[in-house]
Amino acid sequence: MQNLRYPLRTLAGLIISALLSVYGAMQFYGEQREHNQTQRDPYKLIDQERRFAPIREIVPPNALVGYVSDLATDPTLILTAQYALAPRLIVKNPTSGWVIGNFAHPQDFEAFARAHGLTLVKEFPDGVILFQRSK
Amino acid sequence: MLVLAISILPPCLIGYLVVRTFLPVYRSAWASQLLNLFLGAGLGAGVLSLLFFLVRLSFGPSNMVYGTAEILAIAATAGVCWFFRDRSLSGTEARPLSGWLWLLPAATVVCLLLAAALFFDTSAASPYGNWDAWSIWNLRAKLLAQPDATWKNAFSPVLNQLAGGGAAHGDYPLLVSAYIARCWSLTGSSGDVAAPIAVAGLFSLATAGVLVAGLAVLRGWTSGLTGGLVLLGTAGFLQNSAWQLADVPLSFFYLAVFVLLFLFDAGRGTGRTAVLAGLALGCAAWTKDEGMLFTPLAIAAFVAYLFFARIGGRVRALALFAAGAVVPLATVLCFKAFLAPRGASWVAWTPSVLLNNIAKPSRSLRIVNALWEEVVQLGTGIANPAVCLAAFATCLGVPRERVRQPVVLLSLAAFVAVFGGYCGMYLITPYDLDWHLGTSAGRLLMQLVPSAIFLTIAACRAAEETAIVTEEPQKPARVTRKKSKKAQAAKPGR
Repeated sequence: MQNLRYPLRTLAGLIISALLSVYGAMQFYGEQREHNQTQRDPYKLIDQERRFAPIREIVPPNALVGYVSDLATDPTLILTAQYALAPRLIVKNPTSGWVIGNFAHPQDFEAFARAHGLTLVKEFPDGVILFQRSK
Repeated sequence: MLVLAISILPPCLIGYLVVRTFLPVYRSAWASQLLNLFLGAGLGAGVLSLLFFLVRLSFGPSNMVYGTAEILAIAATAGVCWFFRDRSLSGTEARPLSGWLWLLPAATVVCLLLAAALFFDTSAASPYGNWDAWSIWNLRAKLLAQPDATWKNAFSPVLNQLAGGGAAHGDYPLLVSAYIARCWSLTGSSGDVAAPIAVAGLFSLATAGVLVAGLAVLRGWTSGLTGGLVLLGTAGFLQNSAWQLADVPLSFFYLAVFVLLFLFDAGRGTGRTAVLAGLALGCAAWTKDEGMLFTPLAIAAFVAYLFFARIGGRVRALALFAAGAVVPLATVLCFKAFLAPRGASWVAWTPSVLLNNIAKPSRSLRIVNALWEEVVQLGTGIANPAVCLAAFATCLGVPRERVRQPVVLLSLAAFVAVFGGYCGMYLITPYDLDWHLGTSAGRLLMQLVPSAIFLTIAACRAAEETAIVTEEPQKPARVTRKKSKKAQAAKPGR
């Protein structure tokens, strides 16, 4: 019967790469688990899906909708709203009359609508407002 | 469960049949079967993504039509596989692991369990994946999965100018989005996070599997398991696996192309392996724009290989390669030419900006620094894939005759050219360089990591090649001894 005897150098190469890999996997496992515990749903998409769910009941799926907010133009907020509202697309100059309001602070939404040439259609919880562009 | 079954089983089945049709049977039976399974899983997802997109484009968003097309495709592939599969036997029998080397599969299993646990934990913490996952790939999958005409919004120009919210890149290739849309469309669960998580898991596992099985077939189990260990110990890979981005699928297709080129070379250009290499190449282009950079470079490497390698049937090999690549490449080219909106990234790209960017040496320095930092970030401290590979290469060495092999040289050249292409893109980017590097350099490096591991280990000596063969002295069996005593007793003169 034939046996294979590996030179020390070969064994060293295999052992070093294997040990480093296992150590790396274990080390990163610990780091990432800690990170996962503190950073749950970092883009708040679960919240956004819940917040915009009533809008999806009313606005048809093929609508191109407008977007207003009391927050500075934050790509994260707009894109998470877009994900939650898809297949409706949030556009700058919508062809339909629907405009979605995404507000962080309570205010007089009737007054906001008048000031922006909109009509308030419905106020939902958590700062989600459905407007229509006034004709 | 239905989402998981629909997401994972059909690509594995159709992919296995496709791979089994075009690859020979390798003598190392386990490695051969694992290669068929894992290579098939990724290629199968690519094939079904193309099928879904082409059926939508030709017949509209009908689940009935698509479902029938998928069943027919699986049945046709099964038929072709049954009658026309490559029955030839290739390669050499892999030596079984012995002695302390049994620790390698044990370590691989430990790393695989850690990777799986981390994947599920990260997916539970961030079920929608990382930024690009939900803002680009899964958003477009949601649009593609629509049961009415709105599915074409997935490549609407509107996606590149979303109400001041940045671009969702309607011009990006669609492999990942179309495959997830297929799963959502068939299960009627658009937006369900299970499908993108399953697809991310499928590609991550398939990448590790192809690396292990490909190296095991080519260089033996020791090399295969070491490759798998280095990949599973790479923090960047573990992190990206659960992010649901298109970078891990792209890394799978890059790796598949290199593994298949080596297998093609190992078979001296006979057989039909070139078809799969072409298919993997086409799928890379159908996955991400970076894959479109990889495509001409890999084609050039293959053509140069055919020119320099002493193999027969060059024209046949080229024809088979083209046959594998033609459908995905034609689809991605038609998509880019006729359907994709003008890319957001091209808006600010004028010749003056380009020349101005190239002329600044400080930009090159910033690129080199950022890439170095990202290489460091790929691992955790000293446990870095670059350190592991350096240790492996130093200890086992690279045989001189292997460095001279056209397949090794040209694969390395293609790999370096892709990396150079990435650096060049950063050099001329019209975006803020620090922002561009910070948001993408780590992922771009990650795309190359599995191929880098494969190419390094495939170029090095396998442990088995360095081994000294010793003959174990044979002990006579007890039965034989008894027999011989009797025989001696029966001998006349005793």
